[in-house]
Amino acid sequence: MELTREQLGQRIRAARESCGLTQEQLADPARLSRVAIGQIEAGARSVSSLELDRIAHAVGRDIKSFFAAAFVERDALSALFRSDAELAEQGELHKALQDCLAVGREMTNLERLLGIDRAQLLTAFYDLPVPQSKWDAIQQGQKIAIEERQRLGLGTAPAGDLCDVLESQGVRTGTVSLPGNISGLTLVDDGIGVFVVVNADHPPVRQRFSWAHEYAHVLVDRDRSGAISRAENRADLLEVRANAFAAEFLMPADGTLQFVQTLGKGAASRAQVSIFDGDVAVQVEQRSAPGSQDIQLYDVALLAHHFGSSRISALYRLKNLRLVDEPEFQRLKTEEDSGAGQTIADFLSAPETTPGESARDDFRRRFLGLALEAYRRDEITRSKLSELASMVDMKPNDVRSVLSSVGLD
Amino acid sequence: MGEAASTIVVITDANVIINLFHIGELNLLGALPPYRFRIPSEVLAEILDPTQQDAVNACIDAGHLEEIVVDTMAALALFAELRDMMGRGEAACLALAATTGSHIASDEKKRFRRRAIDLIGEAQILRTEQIIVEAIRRNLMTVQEADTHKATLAANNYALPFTSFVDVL
Repeated sequence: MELTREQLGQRIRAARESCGLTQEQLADPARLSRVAIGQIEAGARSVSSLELDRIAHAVGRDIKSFFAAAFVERDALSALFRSDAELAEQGELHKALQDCLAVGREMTNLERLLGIDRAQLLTAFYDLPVPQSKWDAIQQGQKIAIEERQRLGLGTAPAGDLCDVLESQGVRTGTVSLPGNISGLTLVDDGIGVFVVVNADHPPVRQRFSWAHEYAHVLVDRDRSGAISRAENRADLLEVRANAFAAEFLMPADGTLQFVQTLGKGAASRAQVSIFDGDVAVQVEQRSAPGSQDIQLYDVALLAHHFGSSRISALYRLKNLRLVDEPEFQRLKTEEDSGAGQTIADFLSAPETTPGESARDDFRRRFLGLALEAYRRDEITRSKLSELASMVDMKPNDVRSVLSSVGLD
Repeated sequence: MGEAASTIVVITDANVIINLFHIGELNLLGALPPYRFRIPSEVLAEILDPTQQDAVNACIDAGHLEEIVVDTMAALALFAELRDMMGRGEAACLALAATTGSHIASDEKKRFRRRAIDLIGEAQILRTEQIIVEAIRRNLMTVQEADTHKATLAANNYALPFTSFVDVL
């Protein structure tokens, strides 16, 4: 049955209110007056497709959702708005979220058009109590990281490409420009599923940590319908837990120790063993050569390269695992801060992440690849292809030349 | 405003507008009664070249073309549905044509054309070459001029599958 104008107005109002936006706040992105928004919501004024498109984008929906047989009042964006009352005031973040959702929806649509049976959400859900202290949060984060590594069969090895890990678990991933203080976010939406986004403007090594951090939110906090990870919230217990998870997931304690041992380090400076022969015990003592067990900055560089982490996070990991003590940590950190770490990494050809590994490019490639395939299979028009390409910053001329070069022109 | 019974409203997509611009014949849109050409706001927004924008705006000012919006509930619902597979301008054209019984002017092929045929039927789809043929029949253009335009269109990535307009008259 066709929707009436009044019903459409009610749905627009419900969507706006569930995002915590006032009519005034919606008027600006919709390029309408507050009065016009009020009239549209009351069904007293028609709304054009251009206006409705802008309204839908502003409340994090696609236009189709307003005409769905069963209108969902609360979606991913409204869940985030509920979790963060100040969100509506943060224009830059608000826009980034809208863009994320728009890209996520288009990706979902392309997969649907191409008949890609996206894996169901395979990842585990760890039903943990809310941590009572930071210590509690760290313990929980480490524990689920160990369990998750075990579940994924990662053992003590580096976790590999984290986007691949998340995607293999049915989690949609994307990289989008976000405000500098936001490292990533997790959205849970009926249409899109679980969608993890990290800040495209952050360096790859930080993005890698963010993927792992957001994965923790997927594993533990997804019943909250979403989470935004921002610098000023790092002391929140759920953020502490996610950070502890990320540290353990990226650099497992056992794996770190094993790697350090392959460098001939990590042993105690003095080891004692008692061999009991059934009658008496023979004491054996081994002392390492003085200074031989001291971890150096090049060890840190190799460790960071091995696990795809930053040298500074590797350094903290070594400290937390008591493989370096506080004075050693301070010495190494001072050296790292002076730029020596980079020089050593260059000398060893041991960059923090593999050169060329760029999640942004990977996401863009995947999105454009699906769009091209949908166009080749005649599921979308060329104009739609151009629109999709522009969402990942590709120009119409680029689309033309690509189509021409692959014979799809 | 009501339409005369004989008026045939044609919702016009960007590709036809741009093709007519390339051959300098945008004014034809006002010279082929009973066809009355309309352009959805979405299509207008897709014309990005400033020279083309100026020409289209001049055409609107002269009354050869009329801007139109998608704002009825039926058209909005169809527009929303079509957006999954086509661009904004195409979806607006098709939603308007299908819900108002209008014709459509579009050179798009494949997916768009298939959906357009489903919704409004092949007979209600006009292409650039059909507009040119109409102009020739009304003595607004000679076959020689039309064939020159054909070459210009080919140079702008719109090749027509015949040798001369004589063959399709």
